[in-house]
Amino acid sequence: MFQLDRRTVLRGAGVALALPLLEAMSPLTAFAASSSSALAQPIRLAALFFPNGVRADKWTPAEVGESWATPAQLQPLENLKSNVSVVSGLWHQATNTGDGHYVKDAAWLTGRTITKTTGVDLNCGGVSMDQVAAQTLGKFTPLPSLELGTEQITSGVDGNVGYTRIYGCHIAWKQPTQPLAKEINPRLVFDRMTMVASGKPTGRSNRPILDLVKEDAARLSRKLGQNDRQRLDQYLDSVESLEQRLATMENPTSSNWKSRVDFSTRTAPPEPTNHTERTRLMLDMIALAFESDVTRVSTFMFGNSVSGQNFSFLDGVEGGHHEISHHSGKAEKLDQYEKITTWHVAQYAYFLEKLRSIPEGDSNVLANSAILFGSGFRDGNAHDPHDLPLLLAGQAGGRLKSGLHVKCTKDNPMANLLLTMLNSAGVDEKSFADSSGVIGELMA
Amino acid sequence: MMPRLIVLPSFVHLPSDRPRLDFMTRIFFIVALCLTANRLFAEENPETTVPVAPSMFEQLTVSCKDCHEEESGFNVHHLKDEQASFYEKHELWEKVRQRLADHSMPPADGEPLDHDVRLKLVDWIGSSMHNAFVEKGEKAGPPMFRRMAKHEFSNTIRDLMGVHMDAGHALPEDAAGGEGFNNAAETLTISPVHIEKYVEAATMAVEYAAQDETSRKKLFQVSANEKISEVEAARKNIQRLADQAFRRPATKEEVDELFRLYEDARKDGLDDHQACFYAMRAILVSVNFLFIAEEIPETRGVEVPLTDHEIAARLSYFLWATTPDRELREAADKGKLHDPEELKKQTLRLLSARGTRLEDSMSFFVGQWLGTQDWGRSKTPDSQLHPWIQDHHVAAMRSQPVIIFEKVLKDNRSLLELVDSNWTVLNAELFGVYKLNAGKLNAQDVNQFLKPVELPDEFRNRASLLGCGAIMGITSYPKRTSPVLRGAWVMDKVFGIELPPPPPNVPPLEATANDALKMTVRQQLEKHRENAACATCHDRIDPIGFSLENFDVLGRWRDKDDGGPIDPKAVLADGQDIDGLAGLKQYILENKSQFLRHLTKKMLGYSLARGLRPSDISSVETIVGRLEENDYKAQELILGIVMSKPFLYKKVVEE
Repeated sequence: MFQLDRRTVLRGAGVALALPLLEAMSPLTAFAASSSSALAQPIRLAALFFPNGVRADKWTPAEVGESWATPAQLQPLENLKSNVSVVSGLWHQATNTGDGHYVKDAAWLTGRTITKTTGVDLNCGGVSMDQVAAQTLGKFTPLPSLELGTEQITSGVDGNVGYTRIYGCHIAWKQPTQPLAKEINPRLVFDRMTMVASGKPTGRSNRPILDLVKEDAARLSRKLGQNDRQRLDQYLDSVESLEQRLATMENPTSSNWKSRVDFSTRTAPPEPTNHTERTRLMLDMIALAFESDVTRVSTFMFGNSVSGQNFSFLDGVEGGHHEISHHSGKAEKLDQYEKITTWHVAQYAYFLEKLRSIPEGDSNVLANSAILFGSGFRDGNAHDPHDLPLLLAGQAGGRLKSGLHVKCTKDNPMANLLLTMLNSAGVDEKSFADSSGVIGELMA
Repeated sequence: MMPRLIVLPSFVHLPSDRPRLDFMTRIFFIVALCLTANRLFAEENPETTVPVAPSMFEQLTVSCKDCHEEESGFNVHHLKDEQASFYEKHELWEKVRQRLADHSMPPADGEPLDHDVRLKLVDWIGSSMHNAFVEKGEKAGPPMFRRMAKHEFSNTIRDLMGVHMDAGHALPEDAAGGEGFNNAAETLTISPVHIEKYVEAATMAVEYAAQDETSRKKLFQVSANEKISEVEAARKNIQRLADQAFRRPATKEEVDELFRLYEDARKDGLDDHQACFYAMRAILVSVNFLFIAEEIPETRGVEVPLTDHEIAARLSYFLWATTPDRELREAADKGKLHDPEELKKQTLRLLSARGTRLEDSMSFFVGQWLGTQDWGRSKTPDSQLHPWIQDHHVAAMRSQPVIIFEKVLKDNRSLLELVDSNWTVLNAELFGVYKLNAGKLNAQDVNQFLKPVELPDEFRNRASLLGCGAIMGITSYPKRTSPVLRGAWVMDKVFGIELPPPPPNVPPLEATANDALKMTVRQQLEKHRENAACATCHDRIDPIGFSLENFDVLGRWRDKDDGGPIDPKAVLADGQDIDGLAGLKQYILENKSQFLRHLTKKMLGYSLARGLRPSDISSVETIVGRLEENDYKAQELILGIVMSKPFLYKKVVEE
């Protein structure tokens, strides 16, 4: 067995992308529909999740409002303070149940309660915020959303708590029963975007093939029971959206989407050699996706639930993330825990700097984004779902205020923050999960 | 002395033999005796006033009824202390059992339930359901409907097209469900990125095939001549691939549609082969190919035998993780797989055939059953601590348990050799990792291939699964071993014992003046167990881990750690002493019945590519019985599964 090199992949892809059919009535795809109805500048949403919580006593600033001293774990954001808000006091009431991490992490962007199962009853209770956004923002871009991470799927089911680990590996849920698989190889993501953005139709179109797939699937679907049919329908939906995308590419006049980046001028990411590099390369891919407008919605997982990622590469840290997060109140473990969280915040800072460095008109991509960063619980030792560690960066094209510490009263719904993000990006939902309204202090 | 109780996994119970670990069996008898006594007094001597201990069922009712007597929702009075109730209302019973097991009931603000009573109730419900289901006999399960897992997709394209490429390399990894395997139908979800990658893979596979002479020969077995036109030949070649790809004869309608793609392509100017390749691309993205979909029986609730082609597909994906080969296909075409002799012959052929197909599948079974698949992936050895360790060392460690398992299967050895034996498999890397001397072990031709090596007594600690460094690696933290992880691993992977999660709000450990002193990991843990809240479970977990302390974080043998000499002696929760690795192995062998039952469950779940249902439990018992009658021979496990009702029959049960 050998892996294919990129040239082969692209050559294959070229064939896949096919001849223009130039049918007079070529279906107008959604992303072709128009971007004139959208906001003047594209607004991007991203949510960056890290596992295992934070050192609780060194996260929240003592001061509220515009002027706050940076707590230890937020130090890497020192130069970005005017772009980032700390939002404290929020939680997902629906996750105050069940054991361990999965309930909290799978529901981070849904705010619902997941069903305890090793698989048959897989259900996270709702659609995640990013996918609600993708339903609207995805109409303007070739990829409705991009799901990335760094850690391979953890094998098995967690016998201790009786959950399939699928819950711990996914934060993006297109449907309550459909988690979106994340990509963990930066090179593959780069190649995928290159293809999406600049694929020149050369070979024979795959669209007639996809039509046939749909017919076959419809025939099969009629014979299936409800659960199986749902699975097949998910496949069918995906086929449909690919077909629409191909149609638009094959008939560029139907689309006014154009990549804002010439991918041939960009270097493909190398094979990462360590965890920091892998993380940064993946964050680069989100930045590239936003810059090129391949998508406007993305989620990223620094690690899966209960990640045991070895952080011994940090000075003074000796061991895995999860192990250290169970610090038992011991000073030497708390110090290591703090260092690991700070490392995560530093990667967030790296990403924000990157977005800020990409000009867009007389502004920059960060100013046209809303970038959430946080974890599914606060103190890892206690699996404490109260007062989640949450940061929000960017100004969403001027709709968001930043640079604040917004202190919500205890146990306000995190769904309010998610709703705030949606509205700031022009997704006019009235409510989300158990939200009670947007967070006014954050709205410009 | 009251034996301590282990929380049983759902439906696992040990009726036939009663070795040491069977404290649960013992408790079951005690409970049964109480129940009997209770009934005797209650029914036959109504006047008696002798106080009797409340039955398990009474204790359950008393605890639940404060809140659960209402008409809607869960009403505890809907449950009865009868086998029929455990059978018919098993879902409700299981929910009750789980709520008790995970401490979510009674709620924190309710009347607290005594810890011991809780464990006994969990055990009692589990064993009662188990018995009720065994009584009912073997049952069919649902027809298979799932997409191929990533590795199955790669293997299948390789075998269909005769191309040596990893067609699925760009697909996202599959998560695991059911019995813990990534072929489980329930967790093979679909994301939009899948279809993109499928289309790319199909296009590439066809391109590769077009450039490869052997592959072209395989795909174009019929060529035009005086008797057969180009178009007829094309149709035959397309049909041939469709039959194989769909794992059953393609219908006329399906072939017509594929052929239409060929015709359209020809009209647009593609040559004969190019047009065929185009139709073949369509075959490789068809739902009939990507999904293993068995025909749905017309009548609900009726057990229907699988078709021959369905049997062939199940058998092949189970043992080879790929599509049926020619011989199996031909047996199915001829309708021979319903003959038990033929099915047995084919099964044994797949087990003994040369090549790496069996390993293709067993690496996923073993790697996920034991968790060793994560070694070098989500669990990596610490590169600062072991600067010498390279990917090829880690890969060899990951392969070792797979090759041991494969050898036991191929040679039809006793499954107990997985627990203890006088051999292992080693290659040059593993000799290095374990610091073994090839000369001392009389090992010949030491190279990169893992080969069997006989172990004299002195090196017997390297034998069998527990001698595999990958297992000790995944149950360690990067810089220290973890008796807790190891103890929990043995309970989970070897015995299938479900451990409750740690109770919430475990108080931080008091920092002691001794903290400055170096202690062995064991001494530290023993300190921790002074806390009663932790001791309940850790008394059961930690001693097992202590017995494995001679293995370091990479599974290398050692006599001392940072804190001093290793003390591998331990007292188990039931009072039994075990002395180190040898003692633990002995203990597992004394409780072989539970080990074999667990392995059978895992293997059955893997073969069916779904989580087991209560109705499968009777088959598990039948297969375990077959093993016990046949000296635990490994191939009997496979044959028992392949001949079982859930494997050969299907039934629509839902909706």
